[in-house]
Parts: sequence; C-alpha cells; structure tokens
Amino acid sequence: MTISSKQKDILQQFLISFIAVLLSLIVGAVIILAMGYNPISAYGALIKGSMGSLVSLTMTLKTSVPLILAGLAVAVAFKSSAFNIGVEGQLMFGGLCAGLVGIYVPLPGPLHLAATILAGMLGGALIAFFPAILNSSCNVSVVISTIMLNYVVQFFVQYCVMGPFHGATSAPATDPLLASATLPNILPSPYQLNLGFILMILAVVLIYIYMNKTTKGYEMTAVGLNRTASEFSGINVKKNMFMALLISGAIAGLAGGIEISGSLKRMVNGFSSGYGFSGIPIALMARNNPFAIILTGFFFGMMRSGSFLMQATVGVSSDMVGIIQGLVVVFICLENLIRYYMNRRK
Amino acid sequence: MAEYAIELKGITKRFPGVVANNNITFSVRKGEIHALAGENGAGKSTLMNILFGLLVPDEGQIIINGKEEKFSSPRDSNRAGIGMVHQHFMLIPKLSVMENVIIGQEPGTSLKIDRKKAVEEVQAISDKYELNIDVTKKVGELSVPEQQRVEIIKVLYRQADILIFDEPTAVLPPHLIDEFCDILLSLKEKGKTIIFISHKLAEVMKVSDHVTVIRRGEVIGTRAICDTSIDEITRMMVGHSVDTGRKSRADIKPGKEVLSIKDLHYTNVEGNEKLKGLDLSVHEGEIVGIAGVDGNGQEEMEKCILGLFKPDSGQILFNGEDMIGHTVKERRDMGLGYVAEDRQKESLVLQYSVAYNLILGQHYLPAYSKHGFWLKKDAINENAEKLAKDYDIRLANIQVAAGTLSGGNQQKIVIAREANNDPKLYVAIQPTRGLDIGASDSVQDTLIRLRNENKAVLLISMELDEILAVSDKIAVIFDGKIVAVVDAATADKESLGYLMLGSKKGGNE
Repeated sequence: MTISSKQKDILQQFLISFIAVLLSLIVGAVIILAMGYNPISAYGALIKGSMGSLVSLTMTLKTSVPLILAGLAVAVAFKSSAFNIGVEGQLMFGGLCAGLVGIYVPLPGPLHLAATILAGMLGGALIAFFPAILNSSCNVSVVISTIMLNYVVQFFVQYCVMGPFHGATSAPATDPLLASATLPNILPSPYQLNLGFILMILAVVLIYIYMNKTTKGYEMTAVGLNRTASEFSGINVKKNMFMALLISGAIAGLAGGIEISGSLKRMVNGFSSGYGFSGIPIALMARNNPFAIILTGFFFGMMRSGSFLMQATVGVSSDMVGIIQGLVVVFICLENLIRYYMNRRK
Repeated sequence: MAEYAIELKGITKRFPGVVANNNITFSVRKGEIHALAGENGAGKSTLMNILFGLLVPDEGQIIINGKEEKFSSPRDSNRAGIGMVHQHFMLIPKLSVMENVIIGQEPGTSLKIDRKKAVEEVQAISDKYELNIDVTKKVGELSVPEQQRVEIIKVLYRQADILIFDEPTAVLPPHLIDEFCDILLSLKEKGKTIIFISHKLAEVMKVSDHVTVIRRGEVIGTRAICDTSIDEITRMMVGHSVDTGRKSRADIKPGKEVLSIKDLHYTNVEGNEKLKGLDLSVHEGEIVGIAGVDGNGQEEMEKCILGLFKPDSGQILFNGEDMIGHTVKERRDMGLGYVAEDRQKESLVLQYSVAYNLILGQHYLPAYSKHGFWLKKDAINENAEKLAKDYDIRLANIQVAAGTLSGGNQQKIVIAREANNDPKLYVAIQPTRGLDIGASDSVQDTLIRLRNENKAVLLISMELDEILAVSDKIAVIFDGKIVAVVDAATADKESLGYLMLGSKKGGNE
C-alpha cells in the first residue's frame, strides 16, 4: 500500500516537531554542561522524576491536564486565525469562578460539581468575550487585547483572593471548596489522578469532532485558512472568530476549574504559573491537532513534574526546563529550515 | 562547438497519480528564441523546473552545450549558464535594483560590499541590453514591467546564456507586450538563447524561431514559425480545433427579469463616487456582458451585487425583491452564483481538498449536512466525483488540496461549484483570466449552457473578444454608469471601443 500525500505531510510534520525537540534537548545539554553539571544525569533525573514510578507517572499526567487543555484552547482559536494569547488570564478567571461556586453555592450532590466546572468554563469564556466583541465590532487586534487582559485578570484575581474571599489561614488562598465540589480521584491512593483527566480526554475528542466533522468546524477552519474566500462564499468571518474565541476561553476556563476543583481544592492566588502561556508552544508543536496536543502537552507536563527531582538530585535549577521549552519554540519556528534540510537529503 | 544549447532526451517526471512529463525530447538551437506552448497543466512548468534544477527528473538526459548535466539545485543550472525569469517576481521591494541583483554574488570582500563597483556593473548590463532601469532606485518604486526587467538583469548578471521566461507577458498590460517582445529580440541579437513559455500565440508567432507544443505531458511536435500558423499550433495544443468566433447557442427568448439594478450609487472610503446612478437589467436565458475599461465601477458593482459593499442609494432587485440589506449568505440562498475575479484569493481555500472546496458556501445545505451541523462526508465526496467528471477537472483524486492543481483546474472547481446550486443569476468575473484556450473554452461553454437552461448570466470581462463571443447583450460601463446596451450579435468592436472610452461617437458612426 502506498501512503497518500496527506499522510506523508502528517508524517513529515511529526518528524519536524520531533527534530525540534531533539535539537532543543541537545542545546539544553550543552547549557547544562556549561553550568558544570552532567546533562545525562540531569535528563535522567527529569525522566525518573516524571515517569520513574507509577506514582510519578500519575503525577505527571495530572500536571499535564491543564497544559493539554491550554494547548487545546490556543489551537481552537488559532484554527480560525484568532491568536488567543489570553489563555492564561481566562484560565485564572475560570479557576476563580469555579472556586467561588465550589465554596459559596452549595447545591445537592453531583449538581454542585457540575455547576463548579461549568462556572469555570463560563468564567473563561467571559474573559474571552471582551476581546472577541472588541474584535468583531471595532476590529481591535485579538493579540493585543488578549495579552493585555491577562494583567487585568491577574490583578483582579489577586484582589479577590487576598481581599473579599481570603480564607481563614494566612496563605494567599480562599477557604477550601466544599467536598461536593471537588473532582473525585479515579485511581486509589497514593495515585493522584482525578476525574479532570477524563474531562480533558472528553474535551479533546469533542473538539476534534467539532472541528473535523461539523459544518461549524468547516467554517472556522475555512476562515482561518482564507478569510477573503470565506467572506465571498457567505461565511460570516467575524462571527466565526467570535465563536472560536469563546470556545477557546471556555476550554481555558475548564483547565482552571479542573486545577482548582481537582488538584488544589481551593482557589490559590497565582495558581497557574504559566499554564496558559505554555499552551502556545504546546499547540504550535502539535500543529493544532487535538490528539497531538495530548502528546506535546504530556511532554511539557513531564518537564514540569520531573524538574523537581532534577533540582534535588543533580542540582540543576528547575528553571532549566523553562529554557528547554523556550528552545523548543525557537526550533519549531525554524520549521522551514528543518524542512529544507529534510527535503535536500532526498 | 555544439549546435544546440539545450537537448532534452526522454525526460520523464511522475508525481503521485500523474505523469507530468512523459518522455519529453526536444532541442533548442544556440541563439534562437524557442517557444514552449501548451495549456495550463500540460507540463510546461514541470519541465522548466527540471531544466532549472528545482526538480530532478525520474528518467532522461539533459545536455547543455553538448555536455550532459545533472542538476540538483538552481545553483547547478546557474553554473551551466541557465537563468530563469519567473512569472512571480522574486524581488525585495525595500532594496534597490542593484542590491536585488547582486544578492548572493556581491562584489567586494566578504566583509564589505563594493557598492560603487556593483552599481557600475549592474547599470552596464541595463544599458547594454537597453533595459532602461535606474539601478539605484528602490524596486518597490518600479512598475511591474520595470520589475520584470530587473529580473532579466538579475539573470544576466549571473552570466546566463540561456534564459527561460515563464509566462512573461501574463503580468503585462497589452500595450506593453510589444515592448517586451523587443527586449527578447534584443537579447537574441546579443547572442542569448531564449526559451519562452506562453500560451498567447500572437506573441509566440511574433518573436520565436521555433515552437514546441506540449499536451498532457507529451511533446506533440516542434515547428519552425515560418512553416506554421496560429491555427495549427492551437490544434496541436488542444487536440481539436477551437471555434474562436461567436459561440453558437440555443434559440430562446429571454424570460422574465431576474436582476434589475436601478440608479445605484456608491462612494468608496476615499470619498470617490464610483457608481453614479448605474442601471442594469438581466433576464432569464440571456448573457449580459459588461464591457469596459478596468476601474470604471465594475468592481464596485460586483461587490454591491454580492453584498460586500453597501450602496449609498438605489435598488438591486432580484426577482423583484430588493437584495440590499441581505447578507452574502442570504443572497446566495436566494439563488446567486458568483465566480469571483481572483480564484486563489476570493474563491478557494487552497489548503482544503477539492471535495471541500466544491461545497464552500453550500456546506450547510441539507445535501451536504445533517441538520446543518454534521458534515455528510459521503455525499460531499460523491458530489466531488460527479463534478470532477462533469467539468473535466483533472486531478489525482478528490482529496488532494485545491492548491496543488493547475490554474485552469482550480477555476473549473469554482465554475462547477457556483453552477451546481441551481443559481437563478450567475455572475462571472474575468472567468477565463490566465486560462489556456482549452480551459477558457470549457468555462465559456458552461456560461452558454447555463443560459440555455434559462438562467440569467452576467459576465464581466476586460477582454472584449470574450464579451463579443459569449454575450447576448453587451452593456458598456463607463465612469460608474452603463452608457449603452447593444445587441452582441450585431455589435462591432470599434464602436464598443469608443463607448468604453466615454466617446459618444460610437453610436453615430
């Protein structure tokens, strides 16, 4: 059987992403070496810390959930050519909304949990709504407005958590969520994996179906690929970008909600630590393919959860993974160069 | 010394599902202008890309000046003295002509470019070949024909003796084509060998010494220009003779009025009034051709009809209902088929498959989706298979990206899609621009067929010959108004020409 040109394309894109990761690990190794550490033991610790045991593997999976969802949020908006750089803010606000409903809106049984998660999604969508409406009514650049809104949200969330909703302890956090609003674990202790993981898989599958099997996804993708032709054929470009941003915000909010309701069990100020921003390279590496985002998101999750062991045992600062992630972005952006050399060898 | 500058022997190049070049053999004498003619998608570009080193042939030999060569990149072909002037210019607008020309081969040391020497050298080339370019100017300030000459200088600077021109006249306005032909002749006079790719046969006849015709990837034959005629070359290109005169059509009476534009005014954002009370009427079973010089309000009228522009005042009645205020989608649902001017930019999503492109704008209809939500992949593919067959869209399969097809086949996608949704009014803007004879013919036949099926057809074209060949009625647009409507069967080119230029003379003489 011969492979079709489409499959060949996908294969090549996969290879390019793989080469980019490999190159960034190599350059990262050189930097680690220059700092006077052994890169092999550093990477070894990174892998051992993230996948060395079942406990650490489930820990890594848990860490990957918000990362994968953030990547998915970026990808959905990107598909319709809206660059949502505001996933970080949408995610934080989603977390806040989920937290508040989880604490202050007692509802019976599973309804409370559903309301909590839904509040997270609505919160994220609300924050995405402002740039979306500004874009469709006044043509304001989505990139600019989403970036700037991140700071507004960051300080607003900080005010809420430190001010009116500050908890009984001195920690920068609210009171714990009611037990009925937390996501139950799906694995027995000590393995930490909660229902959020299932929700994440569900979101990925749903988005894949939406983008590939429905007329709405068809329109959004068409708008992203060729705005003018979409307009000429009667597709409402503004409406599609608006919807894509709203969906993107809802996914970001879901990530925040899962993190608060599943992992932290209370709203903590600054809980995100850059999940939303990591979503950009995660989506980039996966070329906006929802299933590939699971892989690339997991890769970023590995770096995060393994970096602690690396710092503890080898002494390489856990910030090193930030450098490697940055290098990944650089090498992904060198896509054309990699492609050039790949095609030359043929 | 070898007699031939280029000898190609048995060149074969296969792409998945297509043989782009099949056993191509022909030779180009030193110092001649050799035309390569063929329809879009016939394999001319593939062949030239092989000669230029961008593609490697699966089989065959390339012999340059008697010596066999293997090219794996343009650098290799450069070394053998081959240069190519591409259809789409590869210039950097912000740099000067000189800087554009010397890129990659800068005189001076590796640290410092010897600008004085560079200017002198490049200017010398422009002067020697009478190209009339001030090489210190920025490329962005130059007109399109001048930019083309910069491309020629670029090739000459690299000491090419064999120059390949890929559809060079496609970008030129008609009155500058003669000038371009003179440049080709002057290059030939100075000893250069030229390969000239074109499907405009008038130019081919005018400048070439020999012409080689390619059809469906195979050489049909090579003729000396003095021994051949446009008719013969056309027959060789398309495989059958083409009627270049007025299209025959069914004898039907126009039915009721479908489109009625009344006193339409439109002012653009710059404040220029582009439509100044335009009136137009199109009936069932007739083709109305809009003749006019570019920029007299055609674009504004088209976009007012489609719904992208909102007129200041006036009416656009569609079967009696005013379309103004309706969205593009609503107008299309009312029965508007619209073939936009720029197929790549305005009509197709090049990365989408052919099947997907064939439903763009109709994807939500029950035929292709369940409840307007779930795409029916099977129905979409069936539709594509059928249209590809009916409209002779040549492709490996319907899942390939539309961008991989040749221009003619891309246009057939648009023509087919817009005709497929049972339109009441079919608007076609420059539908054959850039197409070869065979594809143009099939597009025009579709317009006639729609008319015979009692649809109303509005054709807007800058090519008067096309308007005359296809239309039933011709409306002349000038300065934002329709200034005359004449019967196409009795219209003559000359008086139309006067009307298009705003002179009243045409009617009286």
